[in-house]
Parts: sequence; C-alpha cells; structure tokens
Amino acid sequence: MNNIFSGLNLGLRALETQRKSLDVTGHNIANANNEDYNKQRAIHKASYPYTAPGLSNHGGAGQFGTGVEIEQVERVKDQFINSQIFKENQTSAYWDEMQRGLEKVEYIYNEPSDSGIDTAVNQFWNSLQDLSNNPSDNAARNMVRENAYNLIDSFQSVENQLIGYKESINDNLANAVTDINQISTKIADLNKQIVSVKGSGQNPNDLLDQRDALFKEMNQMINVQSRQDAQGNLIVSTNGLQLVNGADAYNLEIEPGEPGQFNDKIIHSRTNTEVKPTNGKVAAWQQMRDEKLDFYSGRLNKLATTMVKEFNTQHKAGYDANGVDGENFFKPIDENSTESAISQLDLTAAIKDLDTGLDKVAAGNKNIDSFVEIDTLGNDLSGNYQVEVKDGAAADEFELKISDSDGNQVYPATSGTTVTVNAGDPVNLKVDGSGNITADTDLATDAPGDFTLTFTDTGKKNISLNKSIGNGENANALGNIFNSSEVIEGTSLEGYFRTIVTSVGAESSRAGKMKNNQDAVLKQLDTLDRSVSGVSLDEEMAKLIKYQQSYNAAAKYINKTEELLDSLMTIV
Amino acid sequence: MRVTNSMMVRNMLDHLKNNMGDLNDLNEQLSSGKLFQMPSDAPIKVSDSMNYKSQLNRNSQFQRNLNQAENWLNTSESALKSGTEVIQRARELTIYAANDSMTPDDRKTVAKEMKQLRDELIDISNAKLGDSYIFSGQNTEEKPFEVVEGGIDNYVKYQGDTNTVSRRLNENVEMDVNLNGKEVFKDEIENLNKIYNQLEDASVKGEDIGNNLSEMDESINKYAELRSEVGGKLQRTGNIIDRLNANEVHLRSLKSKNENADLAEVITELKMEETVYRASLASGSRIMQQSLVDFIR
Repeated sequence: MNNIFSGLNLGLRALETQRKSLDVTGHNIANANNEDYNKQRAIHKASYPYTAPGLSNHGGAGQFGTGVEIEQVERVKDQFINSQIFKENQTSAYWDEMQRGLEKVEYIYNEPSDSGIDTAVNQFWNSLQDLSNNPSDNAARNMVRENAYNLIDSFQSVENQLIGYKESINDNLANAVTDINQISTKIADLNKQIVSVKGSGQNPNDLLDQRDALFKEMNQMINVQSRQDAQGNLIVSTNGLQLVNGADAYNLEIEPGEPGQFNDKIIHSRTNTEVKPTNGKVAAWQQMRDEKLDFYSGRLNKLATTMVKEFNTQHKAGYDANGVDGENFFKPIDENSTESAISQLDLTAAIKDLDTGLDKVAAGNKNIDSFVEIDTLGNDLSGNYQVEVKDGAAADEFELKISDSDGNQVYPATSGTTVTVNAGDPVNLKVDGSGNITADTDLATDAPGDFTLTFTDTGKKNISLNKSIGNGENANALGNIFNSSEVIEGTSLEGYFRTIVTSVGAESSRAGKMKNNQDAVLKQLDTLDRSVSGVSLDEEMAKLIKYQQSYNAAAKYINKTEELLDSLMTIV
Repeated sequence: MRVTNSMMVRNMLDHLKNNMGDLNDLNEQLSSGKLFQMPSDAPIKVSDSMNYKSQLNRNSQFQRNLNQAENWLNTSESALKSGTEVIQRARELTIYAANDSMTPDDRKTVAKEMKQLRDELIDISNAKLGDSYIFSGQNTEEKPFEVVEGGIDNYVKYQGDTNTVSRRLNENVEMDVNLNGKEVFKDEIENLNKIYNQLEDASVKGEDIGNNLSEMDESINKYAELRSEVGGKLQRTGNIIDRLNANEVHLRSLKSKNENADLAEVITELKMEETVYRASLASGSRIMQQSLVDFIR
C-alpha cells in the first residue's frame, strides 16, 4: 500500500543507488591509468512501480513510482572495434618482428662499410692487379693469398652470423610456445570464473577485461580465432586447432627437428598435428627461420660457389711461377655435400703450403692473343715463334704458317707453303729439342712437346712456348671474373652481391613501412576504443558531483519524510 | 568524439616518440654526414654507393698500374737515349778509323774505345725496373743477353722471349709497355763487336770498316723511331691519367651526391624538428596539468 512509510523506502533506495554509483565512479577513477580497463557504468532503472489495488482500480491515480535501483553495472565496450584490434594486433606483431629480423640481416651483411664482403672483394681484386704488374714478386703473391683468406673469412663470418641468428630464433620459438600455453591456461581459468559469475546473473566486467587483455597478447603471438558460447566461455583456436575450450586449455609443444638444422616444429598436443601459424610473432619467426634466412644465405652460397668455379677455371688456364700449369686455387665445392658451400670455402692444400704455396699462384697466361689460343699439353716446351694466319678459301678456313724468331719458316717445313686449318679447331702440333715444329699425329696428346693452337681470327703474332715468370696476364684475367658480366644470373659477381644487399634492404624497408602502416591502423583503432571505453577524469568528476548531489537530495527527502512523520506523531 | 585522459596521454606520447624519432634520424645524418646508415634506408642508393666505391677502387688501382707503366716506358726511353749516344759515338769512331791514313796500331787504340762502347750497350740493355729486366720480354728474371763469344749466336745470345709485357691501364685498355731486347739491341751489339774485331785485325782495310756506317745509320734511325713510339705511348698514358683523374673527381662527386647529407639542409631541418619537439612537450605539459579536479573543492 502506498503510504507514508513507502516514502522512507523510496528514499533509502535512492541513497543506496547513488552511493553504489559513486562506487562505480570511484572504480573508474581508480582504474583511469589501467590500459586494459574498460569504463563501467551503473545503469539506473526506476524500480517496479506500485499500483493501488482494487477490482477496477478505484484507488485513484497511479501508478506510483517506487524510486530507483541499479539494473546492472555495464562494461562500456564496442565489440566490433575490439575484434578489429585483436586481428590487427596479429599483423602488427608480425611486421614488427619481420622488420626487426630483416634489420638484423642487414647488420649481418654489414654494407655499406669498409669491412664487409664488398670491400674484401675489392681488396682481392687489387692484389690480383698488383700481382699482374709484378708476377715475379713473392710479396704480391702473398698479398693475393692473404686477401683470398680475408675474402673467405668475410663470407664465413656473414654465414655464421646468419646461422647463429637462425639458431636463436629456433630457441626463441620454445619460449613463445611456453608463453602461449600460459596464456591459454589463464584464459581457461578465467572462463571458469566468468561462467559462474554470469550464472548468478551478474556482470563479470573486470574478469572480462583481464580475459580480453590476455587474448590480445595471444593475438600478438599467433593467429587465433575466437568465439563466445552462450555461457560466456571464450573458445580460442588457431587454424582450426583448439587452444582453449571452456575451462580446458590444450597445450602446444615443441618437436625437435634434425640436429643442427634448427627446424623445430610446433605441435598441437591434443591432436598431434603441426601448427603452422600464418600471422603474429611466431609466424614471423618461422618465416624468418625457414625462408628468409635460407634465401639470403642460399644466394650468398650461390655467389661463393660460382666464384670458386669461375676462379678455379681461370686459374687452371694459367701457369705458376715454375711454369707448371695452374691447379685449383680454391678447394672445389662439393655441391652434394650437406655442408654449405661457404663453410667449404678454403684454399687448396697446394696453395696453402707455406714453402711452395706462393709459387703455385698461376699468374701467367698461356693464351697469348684474342685470335690465337695456345694450350700446352706437354711440359718440355720452349722457343719463340711467329704465327701468321690468313683467310683461307672457305669461310671458316685459315691458312697457317709458323716461323722461328729469325723469320725462317718452320711449319709447314717447306718455305712459302701454308697449312689449311679450320677456325676454332685445335691444331695438334709438337716441338722437338731443336725447335722444329711438326704435326702431332700420335694419339697421346700430352707427350712432351705437344701443344695445340686454336685460331679464331686472322693475324700475325709472336708467340712464346716458354712459360716466363714475367707474364701476369692470368692474374689480370683472375681479377676480371669479379666484374665480368653474365657470370651469375645475368650479372657480375660484384653486381650479384650488390643485388643481394639491395634486396635485403628493400625487403627490410618494406617491412618497416608495413610496420608503420600497421602501427597507424592500431593507433587509430586504439584511439577509437579508448574514446568509447576509456576513463575520462573530467567526466568522472562531473558524475561524482552529480551522484553526490543526488545523494544529498535523497537524504533531504528522507529528512522531510521524517518531518511528515513527526508532525503526524504530534497529532497523536 | 569522446576524448579521454588516457587517449590524450597516449597521443601525446606517440607524437613525442615520432618527433624524437625524426630528431634521431636527423642527428644520425648530421653526426655521420651520410644520408643512410643501412641498406633499408635507401636500397638503390646503397647499391649505387657500393658501385661507386668499387669503381673508385678500380680507378685508383689503374692509376697505380699507370704509374708503373710510365716508369717502365721512361726507363725504356732513357735506355734508348743512351743507346743512341753510344751508337753515335761509335759512328764517329768508325768514320775516324775508316780513314786509310790510320795505321793498324792507331786502329787498335780506337778498338779499345769501341770495346767499351760495345760493353756499355750490353749494360744499357740490362736496364731493370725493380727486379725485372725490362728488355727480356716476359722472361724478366733473366738478363736479356749472355756473352757467348764465337758461338752460333756470334757474340751475344738473347735469353729473353718475344712475348709482350702489358699493363691494364683502364677498363678495357691494355698497353704493351716493353720493347723486345732482341729487336732493340741484338744487331747493334753484334755490329759493334764486328767493328771492334775489324779494328783489331790489321788485315782489314779502312774501306771495309767504312762499310759498317750504313748499318749504324739504320740503327740510329731505328732508335729514333722506337723513341718516338715510346714517346707516343707516354703521351697516351698521360692522357689516360688525365682521364682517370677526371673520372675520379666525377665518381667522387657522384658518390658524395648520392650518400652525403646536405649539412645546411639537415641543420635547418633539425632546428625545425627541435622547435616542433619543444612545442609538443609544452602543449603536453599544459594539457596534462588541467582537469576538472583542479576546480572542485
């Protein structure tokens, strides 16, 4: 019945409601600097009204209000923005780690600098040029060998650092898995509490904040999807593999890869399937480890392999300080070996030899001129001759004659005659102890005195079958392999290395830009989120006053009701 | 849009961070003098710079090669000059000795000087640059001539080879820097030896001695030609050095344009950024000081 005492009840309810609202405001103010906190709001609702009883409501006007109560304490949150933040956090963390990783690769390549591979190549080239100028100088030979060591060191240093980085990423994945498992467990715990609070008809606002914060952290680690079931459980999965289902968390595990390969796998323990993240930090690390680093060290290895091959081929075309044909300079690279090309980089034992190694550097070149190529097959060759090549009758035929250095014809033996040779075909010849040249008809092509001449054009040239120490032409040719074009993927060795550096730079630069873009997107979303859910102190202060005033007014109302009662009592 | 305190603080911090980042970039440019530190700062420019660096390195190596080539040519030139003088003196002596009024004893006196001239010519042919005999072809460790009196090579035997010694002077420029000792000195030494023997031989007539003059004239002409050939090569090396120097200046300026920061510009930008940074600090401190709390008591 609506009577004088119901006024007291109404006043009391008002007092309680305002005070509780003040509590919520206080909670907001207290959490103003909590990054994960979402503003809460006490929603006031008029309490159930009083209707005067009667068969047809003869009690007069109605209904009478009974005051106010708090319907619920609401968490102010835009779920749409929130889910976007989760998603963008994955991408943001991915590019963040990618950029950091590629920057590290840039540091490892250490270009542009005065101590990288580029500089080592330049120095090696310089020493080859110096050797070409002074082929008989042992100091120049020594510089070639030292600079070759230096070049090998600089290649190996880069590769070792790349491998070291790969190893550290591999180790890091185990930590990441531990982190993810901890987060899953915490989310599962929170699920349990949230469901029980919800069951009692209340809002578990602060628990939800905590769970959101954890889920955001999870998003940074790995790409995850989530949905909430009717009870309020957050069900989390990655690529269809459940990590959290209700109060249960399913762990990820590390399955060690082959030793030394640094290719540990992440396994979903419950289903025993491999997890292949596509976003988040873990995806960036795995890509860095399995693709990028292999790509960059692969290109470097290709460079080293080509360099060794080209250098050795040219080195073998020359002869050493003792007039002996050049052997390999670098140890040939076994491309079928499990060892990388760069780790195989070394000089041959013959070149490394402290006593005789320097003499083995093949600075001299047997190929005298562009139009004639001499290949000495046997060893006992000497003598100076003049070759003369004229056009023959057919297009690819030449007429050849060879004279000794005094101008007397020695081949063919009859003065004034010539021999017809085919362009590009080696002419097999033989020189004897008294300097006579005859056609070499026996099948043994490397008997003493055997040599071949190959002609590609007409001309007249002094040739020497002596292998003189003053010839530095092969050293010059060895230097040329670094910048002659069309050696590797249509470019020079130097150019190829520059391409590697540029591509790391470009990729790193792109990752940096993506990271900045992503930061901007996240910042925008965070701003939107804070705009909706953040605590504004001004607002809370205003509310503080608002609720205080209402509280005072309600107290005044009780006070007045009491006065009414007083005056009623005095009548009695 | 509703603006909350944490938003403002976060925004302010973000802006401060960005401004600090810009300041840091400019400071790096200023202290290093370079526009970029890493390939990702400017991938193409880094590649260009590496290319310029490599070209400059080659350029300076070519300059070293050129200096050596010039030394070689200069040494050849002075050997030819001395050789010409020797042959001219020998020619004078030959004219003097060819006179029929000379007695065999007089000729023997002349022969002594002729012998000295012959040996001097051999000495000249032994010219060395560093450890290399420059007239031995590629056989640079051997003296060009060995004395083999009376053998099939008559007086001296050429021990060098006929190969050319070349130097790489620029991209795609190679030059043969040596003269073949056999072509330059062999006939001349043999000729002086022949005259010396004729002078020693009392039965040889003045007329026969005089017959050697034409060969000596030929030699003098040949030396003049060779000197002009060497002179031409020196001229060419001089031109190449000029070209290399010009190219070096050009490459340096390209490299500098490519990678060096314009200090005036950087300093100006730095000042501007500093002002912006100060302003953001000032506005931040002002915003954060005020809230409704200050006005409620």
